[in-house]
Amino acid sequence: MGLRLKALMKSPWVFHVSAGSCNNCDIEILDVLCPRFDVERFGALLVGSVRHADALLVTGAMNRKSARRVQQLYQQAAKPCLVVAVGACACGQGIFRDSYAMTVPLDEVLPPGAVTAYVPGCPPKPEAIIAGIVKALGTLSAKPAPRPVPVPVEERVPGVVPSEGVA
Amino acid sequence: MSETAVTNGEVLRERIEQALSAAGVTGAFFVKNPQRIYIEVDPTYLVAASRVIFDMPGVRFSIASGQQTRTGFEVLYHYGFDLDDCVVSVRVATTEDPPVFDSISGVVHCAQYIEREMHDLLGIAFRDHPGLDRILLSEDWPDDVYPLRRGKPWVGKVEKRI
Amino acid sequence: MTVTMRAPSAEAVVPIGPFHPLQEEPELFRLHVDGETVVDIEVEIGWNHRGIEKISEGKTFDQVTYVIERICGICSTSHPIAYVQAVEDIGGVEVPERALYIRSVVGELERLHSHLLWVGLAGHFLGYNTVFMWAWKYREPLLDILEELTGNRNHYAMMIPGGVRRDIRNESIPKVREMLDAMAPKLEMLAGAIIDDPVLHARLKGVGVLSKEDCKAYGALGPTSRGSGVPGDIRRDHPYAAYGLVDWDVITQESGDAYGKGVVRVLECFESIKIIRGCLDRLEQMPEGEIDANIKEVPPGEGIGHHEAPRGETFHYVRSDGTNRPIRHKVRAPTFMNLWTCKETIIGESITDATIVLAAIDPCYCCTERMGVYDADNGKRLYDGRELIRLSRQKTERLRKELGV
Repeated sequence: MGLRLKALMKSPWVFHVSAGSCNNCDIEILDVLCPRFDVERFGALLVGSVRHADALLVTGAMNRKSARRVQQLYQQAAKPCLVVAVGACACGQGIFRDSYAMTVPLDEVLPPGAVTAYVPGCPPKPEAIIAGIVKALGTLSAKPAPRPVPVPVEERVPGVVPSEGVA
Repeated sequence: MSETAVTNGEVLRERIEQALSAAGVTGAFFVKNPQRIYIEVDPTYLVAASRVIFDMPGVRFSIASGQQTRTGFEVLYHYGFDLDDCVVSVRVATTEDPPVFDSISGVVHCAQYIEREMHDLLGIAFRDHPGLDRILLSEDWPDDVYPLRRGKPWVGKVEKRI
Repeated sequence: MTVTMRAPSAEAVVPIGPFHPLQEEPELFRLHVDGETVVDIEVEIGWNHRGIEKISEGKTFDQVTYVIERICGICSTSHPIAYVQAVEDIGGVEVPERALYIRSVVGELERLHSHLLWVGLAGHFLGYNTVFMWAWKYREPLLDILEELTGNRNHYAMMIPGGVRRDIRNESIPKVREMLDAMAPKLEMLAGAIIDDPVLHARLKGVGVLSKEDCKAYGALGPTSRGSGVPGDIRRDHPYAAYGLVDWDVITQESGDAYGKGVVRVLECFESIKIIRGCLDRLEQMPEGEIDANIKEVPPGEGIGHHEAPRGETFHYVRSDGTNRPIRHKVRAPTFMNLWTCKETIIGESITDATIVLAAIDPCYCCTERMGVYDADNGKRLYDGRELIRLSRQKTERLRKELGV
């Protein structure tokens, strides 16, 4: 493992961005910094600029006005940049999926494979957020997991005829 | 509901009715209960009625609810009568499309923001408004698509991908 | 009192400078400055617009409660309390008394957690990081109790049209009392630290003053208007839930400045504790179980419900046509009224005070980070939100040195 990766795992600098969220996940992320959970003693730090960030914590359901910002921020972050989708909205837009004000889920806003970890919950507990960040960091040193082979839809749901474009 | 409670609702209703008729405004009153009074006025009296009600003591402008109804469009202006434990709502309706009402922002300064929102989401226009710019929807939202209108007017006309 | 909005000109919006690589950072507040003084402010909203009113039209009356809880994570239960009252108002439903007390308990616990959160953030902006850490640390036992009573630290899903979803069992009540007894002295210490601090007096008094007339013109609500001496509180003026059944006082301050608004929030915490204790006393005396009026259907009509959320009145209007879904659901959060008061409170202030003047309205926290400061003459972008926080803290440090504290 290179020195940079070692340093990253010891002390991840985290940038937090929200795109159309109710702020509950955002408060739980801030809570993670506070005395009860206190990730600062592990070296994780919330930074003010995405250029200094090793990890991006993204919350929110990606509404039209804010989704572009997430795209731009990801482009400006130095790679490798771990993206952790925090909360049900960031994982898959949750209950806001059908709204006119939404665009596409986070993993389509960002390039494929950009999102490293998903932390579901509404809001996820601070313990879950920490676990998600740790898991995301763990992917840096681990060998890449074998890509799952997509199961044809006829086997998943007997009797269904697959339509165009469905795996 | 006790007799006294109903009387309290009627007392406030009479006060408002007198104040309105002193300004030359007539309205159709519906006292749902002592805490909820609804007044329907003709759109030409909207600004005058708003001035009368907003000037009464202990009154606060809460918000306005715009909606599309079976016959057209309606706006309800909700006022909190904090000294009388009542929410008074002034209703104006129109059957025109596009719907237009007078802006009450000259009387109630903060009404200009909810009027912008009603214009953005429902396409209701307000005469003499300081500036009916977009307030909630994004800049790339098409001009003639109003999300809160009946059905799903945006489907097929608004691209989801950014 | 008329405010002319300067139309955003092309040069005012283009940020320039090596310190701002995010060229098109969208901003909630754009401050135009002349030297160190704010001469104009533009406010742009819509960053959190999720189309909830339209979503409501596609859900049943019961399902809508869970959607609107997620309008705001901090005042999570304030919207459901207002909404279920609006639905009950349509048909004139009588809610069981036990449910009324439970609604008040959950509403006040939320007020406590929200005000503590605000105290922490205000401390963060002013450079009192210990206050930030303490306030958020004292929130934790509160969130644990909420989890015990409702099942979740936030987004409690407690309200349903007709009553509440879960009962507060008698075994849980001593735990709540214990938490309140442990919290009260800590709150007093925090309150004393804030109210008696000479640096905070110098920092916050006279800053961001909102007059009573402006409160009326802008429809200001909650601590924002109570800090200016306007004695309006939905819990007392339009009694609902159990607020008319227990003893408590409305807190106001006369100054209208950021200090006054802060003091209102801090002192309200003690009233909340009083209300919760009063409700728990009554709950213990009542038989458990009757918590739901079991509404079978909602008749056609319209209803209005409102609640005094930590930030002010949440207002819901629901219209029904007799089916199982609302045909119109208007939602108005208190910040929609309070936000625009910044046009009165921030113009003429120094940029070092910008963050605290805006934070005094208590908008959603992450919005205050999206701030930009522009030179009023040449439109050059000078600072962003984080730099404004840094300037704010530097001013506190300076005052502390001057006062010799």
